[in-house]
Amino acid sequence: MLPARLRTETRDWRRIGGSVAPIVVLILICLLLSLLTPRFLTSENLINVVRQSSLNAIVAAGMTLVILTGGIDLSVGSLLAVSSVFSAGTLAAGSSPLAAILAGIGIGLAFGVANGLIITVGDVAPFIVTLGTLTIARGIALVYTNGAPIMAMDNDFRFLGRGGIGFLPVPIVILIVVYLAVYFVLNRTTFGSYVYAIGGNQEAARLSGVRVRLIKAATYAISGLLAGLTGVILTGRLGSAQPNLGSGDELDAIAAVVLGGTSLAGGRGGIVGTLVGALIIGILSNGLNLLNVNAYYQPVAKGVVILIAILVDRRVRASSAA
Amino acid sequence: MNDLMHATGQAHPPDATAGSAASPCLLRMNQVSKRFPGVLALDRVDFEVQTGEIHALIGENGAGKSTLIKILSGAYQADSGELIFDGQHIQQPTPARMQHIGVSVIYQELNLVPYLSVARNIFLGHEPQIVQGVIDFRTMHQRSRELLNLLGIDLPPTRLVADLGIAARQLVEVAKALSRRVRLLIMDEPTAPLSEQETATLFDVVRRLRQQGVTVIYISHRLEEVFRLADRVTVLRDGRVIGTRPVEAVTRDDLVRMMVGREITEQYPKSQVQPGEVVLRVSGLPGRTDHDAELVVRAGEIVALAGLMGSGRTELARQIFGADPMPHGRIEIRGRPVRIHSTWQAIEAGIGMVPEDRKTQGLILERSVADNISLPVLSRYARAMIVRQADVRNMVRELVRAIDIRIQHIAQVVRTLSGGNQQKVILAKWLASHCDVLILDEPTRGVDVGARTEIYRVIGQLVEQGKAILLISSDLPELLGLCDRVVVVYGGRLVAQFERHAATAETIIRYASGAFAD
Amino acid sequence: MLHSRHLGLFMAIVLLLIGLAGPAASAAQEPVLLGLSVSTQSNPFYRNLAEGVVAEAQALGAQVTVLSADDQLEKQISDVEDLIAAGVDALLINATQDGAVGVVEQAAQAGIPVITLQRGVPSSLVTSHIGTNNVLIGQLAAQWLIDRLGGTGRIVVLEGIPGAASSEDRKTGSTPVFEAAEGIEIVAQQTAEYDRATALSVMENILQATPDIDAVFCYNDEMAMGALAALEAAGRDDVIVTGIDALPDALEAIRAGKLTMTIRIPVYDMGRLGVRYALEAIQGNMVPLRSVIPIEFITAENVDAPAPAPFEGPIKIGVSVSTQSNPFYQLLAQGTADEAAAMGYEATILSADDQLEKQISDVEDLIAAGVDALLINATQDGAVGVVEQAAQAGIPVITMQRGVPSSLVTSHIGTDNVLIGRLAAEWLVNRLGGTGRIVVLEGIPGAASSENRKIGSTPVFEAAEGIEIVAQQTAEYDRATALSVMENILQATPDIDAVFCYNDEMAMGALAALEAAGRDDVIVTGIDALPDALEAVRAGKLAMTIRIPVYDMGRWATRFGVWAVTHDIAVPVQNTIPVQFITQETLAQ
Repeated sequence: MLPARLRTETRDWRRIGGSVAPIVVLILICLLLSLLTPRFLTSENLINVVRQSSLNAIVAAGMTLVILTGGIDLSVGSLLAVSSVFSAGTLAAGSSPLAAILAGIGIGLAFGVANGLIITVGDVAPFIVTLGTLTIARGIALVYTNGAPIMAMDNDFRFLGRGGIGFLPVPIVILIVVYLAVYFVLNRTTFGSYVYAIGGNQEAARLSGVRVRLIKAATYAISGLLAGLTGVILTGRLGSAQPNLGSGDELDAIAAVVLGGTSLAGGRGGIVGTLVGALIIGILSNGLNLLNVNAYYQPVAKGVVILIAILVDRRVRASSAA
Repeated sequence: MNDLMHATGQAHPPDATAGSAASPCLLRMNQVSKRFPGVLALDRVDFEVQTGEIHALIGENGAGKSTLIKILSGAYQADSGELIFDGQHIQQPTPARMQHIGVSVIYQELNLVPYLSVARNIFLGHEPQIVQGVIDFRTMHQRSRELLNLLGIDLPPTRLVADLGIAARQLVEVAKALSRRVRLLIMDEPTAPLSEQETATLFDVVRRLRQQGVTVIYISHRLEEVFRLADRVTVLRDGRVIGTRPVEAVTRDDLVRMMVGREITEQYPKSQVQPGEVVLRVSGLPGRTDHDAELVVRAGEIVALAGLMGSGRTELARQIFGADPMPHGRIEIRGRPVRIHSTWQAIEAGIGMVPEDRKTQGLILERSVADNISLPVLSRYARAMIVRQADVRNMVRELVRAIDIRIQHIAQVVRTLSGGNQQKVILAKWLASHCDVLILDEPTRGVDVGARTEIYRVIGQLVEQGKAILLISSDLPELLGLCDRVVVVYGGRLVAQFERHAATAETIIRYASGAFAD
Repeated sequence: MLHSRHLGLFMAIVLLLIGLAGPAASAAQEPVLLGLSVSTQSNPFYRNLAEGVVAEAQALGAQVTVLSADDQLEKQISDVEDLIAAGVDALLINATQDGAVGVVEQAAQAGIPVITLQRGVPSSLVTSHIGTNNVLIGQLAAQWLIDRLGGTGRIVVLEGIPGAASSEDRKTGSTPVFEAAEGIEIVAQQTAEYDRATALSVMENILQATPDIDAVFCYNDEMAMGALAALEAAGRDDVIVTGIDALPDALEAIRAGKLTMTIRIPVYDMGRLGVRYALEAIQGNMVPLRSVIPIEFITAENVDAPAPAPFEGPIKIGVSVSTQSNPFYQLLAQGTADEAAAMGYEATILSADDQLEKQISDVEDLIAAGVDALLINATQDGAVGVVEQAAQAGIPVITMQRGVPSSLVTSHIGTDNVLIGRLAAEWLVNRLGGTGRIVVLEGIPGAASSENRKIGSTPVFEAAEGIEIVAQQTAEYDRATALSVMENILQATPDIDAVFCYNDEMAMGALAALEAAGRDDVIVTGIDALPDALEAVRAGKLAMTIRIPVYDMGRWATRFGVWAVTHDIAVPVQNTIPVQFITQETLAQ
C-alpha cells in the first residue's frame, strides 16, 4: 500500500503527460549542449529555440488531440502550405491584414472539417482520408500560386510571425495560449474526457452515449485550424508564402506527439508531453547548428536521440508498471 | 489411449506410460508459494491431481487460481515449494518444458490465429513437413480430421478459424492441445462465453478426453458445472487451499461456504416490489408469425430476454439502446414515442445499457474509475463544456460507497480492478445517469460468486427505486431467480412469454431451441 | 460592332505583315557577316569543318569570311584582328593554340560573340565551345570493343603521342572500361605516337612477344592501319582492329573487311552547328556554353549505308518533366512547348510529381502514343530503364537538367553545378575583396546539385586566404528551415560578413532571419533567380542570385529533339548551358 500522498502524485504525472522520461531526456540534452557550447544557454538562444519549436509544437497540439482519439492527421503539412498561400494571396489582393490572417486560418479549419466529416460520416480510415487531403491541399496550393512564391511583406500581417509582446515573440505567446487552451480542454472539459474515452475504447464510449463522430470530427477540425494558424505564423516569419511549405511537417508533428509519450493507439498521453517532444526536436536542431555539425551527421544524430528517448520512455513505463 | 496415439501419429515415451501406471498421482505441488509486490498470491499451497480425473479448481477472483495455472504452465516460477509431475521433480519450469512433458493450458483469451485454417492452427509450431519448411498438408488435414473425430466434432480442417464461433474455437484449442500429446489439460473458465447447448457439447468432449486418459484441471465460476463434470474439487481462497473433496461428498452450499468463508443466505434476493406503470414499450417486433409482438417493461419489474447465443436477444437490446439501427419496432417511454438513432438519444430518453462484454464494450480500461462512471453523465456536470470536477468526484464517491465498489481511490485505473468490481463500475455508470430503463446484458459473466451476490443486491436496489430492467443472461438459474417475466427469443423473434411462476428451465430451453412449432 | 471587328482584322493583318517582314527586311538591309578563323586547311578534318561553316551560312542567308592560320599562332592573331576590323557580327574560331586567347577576348570585349570549334581557348568570355570529348570517345570505343568481343579477350592497346591531350583523354576514357571488364586482359599497352610506321614496328614486336591476342585497340586510324599491315604480314586475319577518325583509307580497309571499326566525328556538322549558334547569339539568344559533338561507329555494315532520308511531316514531341510544382521545371516545360509550337509541331507535357513510378508510366504512355522524340527531365536515375525502352524503340531521347546513366540517350542539356558553384564562390570572394567571415547554407545532403555546388565552391573559399567559413550547415534547400538554421547560426557566431546559399529559397529564409535580427550589413547570395529573389535583389537586400536560363534550355532541347528526328544535323550529345549573375546593377540595365 502506497501512502495516500504518493498515490496522488503518481496519478498527476499520468494525467499531465504519461511519463517523466521525455522531460528527463530534454533536460539531459540541454545539459549536454550547455557543456558543449556557451552559446546554448543564453536567454536569446533559448527564446530563439522556443520560437522555432513553436511552429511544430502548435501543429503537434492539434495532432495530439487526433492521435488521442486513435486517429492520425497526415494532411497538416499541406494545410500549412494552403493556409500560407491563401492568406498571402488575400493580402496581395488588397484585403486587410486581419482578413488575410482569418482567411489562412479559415481554410485550414475548412480542410480540417472536411477531414473530420469524411472520416466520421464516410467511415473511412483517417490514414487514407488525410493522405488524400494531403495531396489535394498541396495541389490546390500549387494551382493557386502557379508554383511561385507570393510576397507578404505587410508589417501588420507579419505581426503573428515576428512581432513581440514585451520580450516574448508572438509565436511563443501563441504557443503558450494554444497549450494552455488544449491543456484546459483535455483536462477540464467534457470534450477532453470524450477524446480520451474514444481513444481508450471507442465502442465503450459510444455505448456510454458519447457522440463519437462529432468529437472525432472536431479533433480533425481543431488540427486543421491549428495547422492553418501555423501557416499564417510561418508566412509572417518568412515574409512570403510558398506552395511547397511544410512538406514533411506532419512527420515532425507526429514525432513530437509520440516522443511526448502519447500512444499512437490512442487513449493514453497528454499535451504536456507533446510540448516536451516538440522542444526536444527543436533543441536538437538548434544544438547541431550551434555546434556546426557536418550536414551528413545531423540526420544520424537526430534519429539516434529520438530512438533513445523512446527507449528510455519504454523502460520507465515498464518499470513503473511492474 | 490407443486411438489417441494413432491419431497424433506419435507414441508416448515408454516411461510416461509406465509412470502413469505406477502412480495414480500425476501432479503434485508441495508447499508452493508465490509473492508479488504487495501481495502473497499463493501461500504454501498443496495440490494434487490424480491421473485420469477431472479436477475442478474453484475460488473467487483473486483467490490465486490464475497464479497457480501460470506456475503449472511455466509462465511463472514459484518462489518456494516443489512441483512434481509424473513422479519427477520439475526444476526451473519453462513454458516450452512444461509443454514438452505434456501440460497444456486453454486460456479464456484463446490463442488462435484467425486467418489460418483449423488444421494449421492445430499444428501451429509443429507442422508435419515434406521437406524442411514445406507443410505436408495432406498429412496435416488427415491428422486434424482424426483428432476432431476423436473429440466428436464435425468440423472441416480447412475452415478459417475466423469463420468459427467461440465454442468451435475452443474445441479447436482442445484439438491443438491433443495434437501435442497432452497429458494434463488445464481449462480456464471455458464455458463463460458458451450457451447451454455449447456447454453440453464441451462437457462431452472433456469426458471423452478423460476416457482417452487425459487428466483435466477445470476452472470455473459456475458451481453447477462442478457437479455435472468433475470428479474432485479443490477450493482456493486468498492464496490458500481450503480443501479438496470428492464431488459426491460435498453440496453446493458447502462449496460456497468454502469459497466465501461465510454463508450466502439468499442467492437471488427476490424483489418485493409491485410492478408499476409501463415504462418501456417496444411494439411492432417480429413475433412468431408476424410483426405483432410487443415487449413491455414496467417500473420495478425485471423482464428477462432468454435465448441461445445468436438468437437475437443481444441484437434486440442493442437496437433499443440505439447502438445498432432498428429494422422493426417502435419505442415508447412512459407512453410517449421516442426516436432513437444513437446511444446518446437513448440516454436522453432515459435508457441505459450494461453491455455483453465488459472489457471491449463496457469500460475504458486505461482510464480511472471516476472517468468511467461519469462518462454518460458528464455533460450534466458541465457548463459550457467545462466540467465541475468537484461535483463529479462527489457523485462518484457516493456511488462507489452506495454499491460498495472496492477500490483504493476513485482515480484508480479500471484495468487493475477485479471482474466483479469492474462490473460494478459499469452498473454505477447507469446509476449515475438516473435512467428509467436499464438493459443488463450478461451482468454476471466472468464474475465470482461473492461479487455476483453483490450485483444481485444492486439489481434489487434498482428495482426498489422503480427502474424497469431488461435482463439477458445465459445462466438459466440466475435468470429464473431474478426476473418477474421471461420473454423467449428465437431466430430474432419473440416466441414466448411467461410469468415467473409459470416458467421452468425446461420450457424456456424448449422454446429457445425452436421446439415450439408443435 | 462591325467597326471593331474590322479593326481587329486590320490589326491582325498588320501584325502578320510585321512578323513576315521582320527577318526579311533585316536580311535585305544588311546580311549577317560571320568570320571563321580555322587553324589549318591542309588537314582534311579542319577543311571539312570549314566547309560545314560555309555551307550552313549560305543555307541560312549569312555571309562568311574564312581565314586559315596555317597552324601559326601569329597568323591567326592577325587574321582575327582583320575579321574584327571587317565588322563581323560573330567570330567562329578553331584555335591553333591557347595563345589565341588574347585576341579572342579582344573580340568578345568588342561585343562580338565568339564560338570556339574543336580547339578552344581558356577564357570565360567565350560564348560557346563546340567540340569532341576525347574522354567520352575513349570510353565509348572501349565499350564497343568489349561488346564486340562478347566480354572476353586478350587485347593490345596502341596509345597516341604521350602527353598529347587527345591521347591522354582517350586513355582516361578507355582504360577504366577495359579494367572493369572481367574477361578482358590487356596483354600489351604501348605508344605508337599516332604514327603508321611506328605502329607497324610496335605491332610486329608485340606479335613476337605475345602472339595470342584477340584485338588491337588503336587511339587513331593511322596506327590502326600500321597495326593491320603488321598483322597481315604475319598472316593473322583473326584479329579485330579498331581505330578512330574515319580516314579515307581506314574506310577502304573497313570495306575490305580488314579494319573492324573506326569512329567518325561529324566535323562538318560541327561547323554547321557553329553557324547556328552564332546566329542565335547575334540575336541575343542563349546558346549552350559547351556542346559535345556525337560520334558515329563505322563498321562494314554501315560504311556505305546511305544517309538517312530526311524526315518529313508532323513531329510529335513527348515531354516528361519531374515536377511542375517547382517554377524552375515549369519554365523548362514551357520552353519545350513554346519552341515546339514555334517550329509548328505538337508537344505533349506530362509531369511526374517527383515520383519515379509516375514518370515511368508517363513515358510508357508517351511511347504508346507514338511520339517521335522524347524530352525528359528525370526524377531519378531509376528512369533509365524506360528511357532505354524508348531509345530502343527508335525514339531519340533528350535529357534535360536531370539525366539518366545510359549510353542510349541522344543528347543531354543541363547546367553544370560544379561550374555554378565555382563561379558563384568566385563572385562572392571578389565582392568581399578577398576577406571576410562567411556562412554557407548547403542544400539537401546527398542531392547531386548540392554536392556539385559544394565541389565547385568550397575549394574556391578554401583557396582564398582572407576568407573564413565560420559555419557550414544544411538548410535542405528549404526556406523555413533556412530561417531556423540562420537564427541558430546568428546565436552561435553573430560576427559574419556574408551568407552563401546554394539556392534562393534558403537565401530568402536567411534574409528573413537577418532582417528580424536587424542585420542589414550581411551580404547574401543565392542561386536560381526566383521571382521574389529578384524582388529582393532589386530592393538591395539580396546581393546576387544566379539565373539559369532554363526556359532556353527547354527550347534547345526541343530543337535537338527535332533535329534528331529529321536527321537535319548531328545533335550534340552533351550541352552545358551558361549562367547569368543577377545583381542590382544588372537589373537596372
